[in-house]
Amino acid sequence: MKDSSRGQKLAAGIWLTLIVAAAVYGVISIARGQALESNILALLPNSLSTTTHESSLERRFVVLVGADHSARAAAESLQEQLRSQPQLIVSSDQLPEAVLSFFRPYLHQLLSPSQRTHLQQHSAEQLAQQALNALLNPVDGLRPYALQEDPFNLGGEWLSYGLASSVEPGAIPSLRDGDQRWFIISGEVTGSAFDPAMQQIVENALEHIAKDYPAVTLLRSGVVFHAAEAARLAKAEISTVGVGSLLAILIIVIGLFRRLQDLLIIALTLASSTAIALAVCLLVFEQVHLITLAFGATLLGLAVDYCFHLLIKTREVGSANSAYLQLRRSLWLGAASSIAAYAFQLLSPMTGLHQFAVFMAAGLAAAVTTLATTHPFLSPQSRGLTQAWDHKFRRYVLPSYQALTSHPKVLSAVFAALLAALGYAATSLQSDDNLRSLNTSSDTLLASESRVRDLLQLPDNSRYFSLSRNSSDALLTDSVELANNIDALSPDAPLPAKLVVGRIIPPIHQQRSDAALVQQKLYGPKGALNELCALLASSCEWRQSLPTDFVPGLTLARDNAGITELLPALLFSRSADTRLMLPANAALSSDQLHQLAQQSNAQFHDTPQELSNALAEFRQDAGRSLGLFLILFALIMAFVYRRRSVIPLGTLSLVLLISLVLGTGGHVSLFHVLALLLVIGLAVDTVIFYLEIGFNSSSWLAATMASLTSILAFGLLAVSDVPVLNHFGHVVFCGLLASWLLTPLMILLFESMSRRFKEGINEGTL
Amino acid sequence: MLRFVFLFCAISLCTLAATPSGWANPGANQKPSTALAILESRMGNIGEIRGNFTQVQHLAALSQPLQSSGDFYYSPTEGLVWQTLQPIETTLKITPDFALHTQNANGELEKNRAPEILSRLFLGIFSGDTSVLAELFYAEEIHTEKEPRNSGWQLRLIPRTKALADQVASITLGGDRLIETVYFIQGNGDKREISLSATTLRRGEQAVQDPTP
Repeated sequence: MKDSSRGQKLAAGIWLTLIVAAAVYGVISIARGQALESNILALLPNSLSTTTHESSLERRFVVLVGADHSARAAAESLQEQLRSQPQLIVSSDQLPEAVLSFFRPYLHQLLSPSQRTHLQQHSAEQLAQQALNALLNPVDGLRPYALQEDPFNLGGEWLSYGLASSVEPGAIPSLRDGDQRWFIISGEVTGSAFDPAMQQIVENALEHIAKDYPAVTLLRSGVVFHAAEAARLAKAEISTVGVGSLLAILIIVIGLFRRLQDLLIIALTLASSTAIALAVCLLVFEQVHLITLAFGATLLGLAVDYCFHLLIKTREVGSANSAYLQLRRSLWLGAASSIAAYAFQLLSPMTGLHQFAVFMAAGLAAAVTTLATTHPFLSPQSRGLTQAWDHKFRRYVLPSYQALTSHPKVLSAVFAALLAALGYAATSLQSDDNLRSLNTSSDTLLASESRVRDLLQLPDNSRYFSLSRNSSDALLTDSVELANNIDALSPDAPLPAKLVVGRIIPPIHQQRSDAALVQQKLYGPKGALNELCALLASSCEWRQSLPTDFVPGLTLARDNAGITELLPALLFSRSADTRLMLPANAALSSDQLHQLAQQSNAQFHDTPQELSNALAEFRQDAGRSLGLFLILFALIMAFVYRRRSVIPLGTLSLVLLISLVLGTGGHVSLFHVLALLLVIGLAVDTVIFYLEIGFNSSSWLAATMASLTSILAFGLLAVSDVPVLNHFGHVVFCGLLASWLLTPLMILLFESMSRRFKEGINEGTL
Repeated sequence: MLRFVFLFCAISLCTLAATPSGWANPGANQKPSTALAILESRMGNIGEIRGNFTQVQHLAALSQPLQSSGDFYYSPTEGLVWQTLQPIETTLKITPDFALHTQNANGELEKNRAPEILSRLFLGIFSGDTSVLAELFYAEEIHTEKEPRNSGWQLRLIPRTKALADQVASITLGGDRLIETVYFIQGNGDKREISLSATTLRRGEQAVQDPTP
């Protein structure tokens, strides 16, 4: 270590303390288990975040155990394991009573359409006889209320209608699918489905079952499973990129520098940038998304570049202080331009972009600050390395580039043609905002989810109609009308009543009308109850307590706690608005659905489509921010480098167009645009370093190492299973390769053109 | 969704069940297969059985028991036909695929929407197929030397889940060579006691007239 001033030591000490504090803060936050977020939807803006009720849906899960004779035993074992976990709720014994209580006061005014018709079409004698038949029948269906409060079992009929299902009751409920029988285990996690601890509990139980009962098939449905797969995949991807990046850096650094001091300064720079980036992100957002970390791993690629430039320059000039002084402007200018490129993403409404921007900006600032504060402590370097590379550079690299630029006009024409061709190709690029690019679930899990939904006829809460009316009763009436219109289009598969709020809580006029019909046909003076009591040879004293008129109170305002999970229509219904969800297997075209919405003065929501639209908006946002940054960058370059600004602008234009056209495969997504940010960051750094210190062996070596490590690290993303990361990898690979190859060419071309221009002036030919 | 299933389970089975909450929880520790094997051994090899029944229902809403009687017929190929003759004539049929058919207002048999579990349970008693019983209940054998009528065997079925137990206190099956009584007790105080008397029995290819010992 060389002598350094007291002020430098103080600055370094303060900065190191800050780094340690940031690292401790980050480690503690992660150790507490609250720092990392894996819900992909958390990256979207608040306007698209999930509601409380959607969150409650997110917590639920269903597992179907079947396809083997040991399925029942496996299901029992699974149920037992899940029930032993305090973080999980597996079924509830109290729910039936909640439903019975909800409808109990109104039994005599709730008629299903078929029951209504039945009452209308039959005489009091017939109705009494049927009631007695049902009483005597030892295999009668639902009779949830006692004879004295519901002698004609209206409640049983009503609940059969409202809760219709193909599920067979049992100690463990089951359902048949052809010859197969599936046992159903379901429940919910008490915390967030995105909490890794919750995921672990459910996954562990399933792993045990799969191990103990290898012949059974387990079908899974629920956010918790998708979140677990997403988290697993994101962690694996982070490992791939992180390990790949580190390995590449290590191999190159050790191979090239072969000094412990160099390794330490690189390690310190990487550690400080990561620690500061994470800490700042946690301070600003409280949680950091795993996807942010995955993309944030690119920070390592940028941060290490500054080290390469400083270390190589130090070797060239023999002193770290001198090297830093020569590089200071390019280091800070490069970092500032990259930070600016990321900071522009703060203009976007997308939370994910905010996190990414803050993470990168903080990390880059930290990397440069680390070099600024620690370089005085670097020992003088031998020039052996740079001399060796200087020889190679002069022998192979420079002549190659010079050969290419020996005909500057031709090369200029080639570049112009290339720009024009790429520009033309870019105009034919199409956008790809499909939500599938965010999908992190395996095909197996998606198939399993789909199968469970089909078998259990679960509602699809991502496709629904929303209805808003001025009054609760109008809302109920219109929801029934909308449901009737839907049924008319698919008469073979009418909507289950539990999905239509107006079918579960009929409008007041319907309740009044049904109450009148019940009085007329059953409870009134000429009603079937008289006949039934005669058949039973009973005075039926309890009949006095049966209601004689409509009972008000069954409205949307009635407390429905505990039953919304059984009656999904109530889950999203308020006094003035409701949501009508469709069954997962509803076979209606998009046109039909939108026509229905128009016809019923409702809105049809296709959440995947809306999220795709949101992605499109974010892509456009990010693109606009990028465009704005490029304009600003052009102005700054023009101000700083005057005529030479054509080099960064020309290079960046070419690099961006190559990345877009070749890296996106013709379809541009938001994540391609994000990848362009990294490309810009690295390309701008490269070009600024060349502009500041010239195209020579040390700048070329530093730029080569910077590009090579980044290409090696982030090129790995191109093989990712996650489309998002895959998109990122392709663009980064094409962009960095182009930047590395083209920047020196542009520099030499400009110099050559300038030289010829000057020569032309001197010779008077221009 | 599962809660929905449990609701169904609970409210559908309350139809079958009965009352006096006097049953403790005795069968919980007994393996169902041991006790249910008795039923399976008595009813498992029936080729055809015909007989009559009487049913007595003690309902909280009625001061007098509700009595009914009629004929029944079971064969593995045709299922169960349950024909009530008194106090009114009515028929129900459970086919071997567990479909329940009951008489409509016009006297015609039509498919009933009752959950299949009830048909499986009732048919299981006649066929000796104890899988449904084992699924829903713990079973224990009761030794009732003091009751001459039940000198053969008695099984008590205790619901496996609390949700079911809230509705169904127990089911007791009794008999000798064949099943003779089915006694449902449900939580609300109602009871249903069915006495069966076989007049024709064929095990495999063998037909026996008046099999009563």
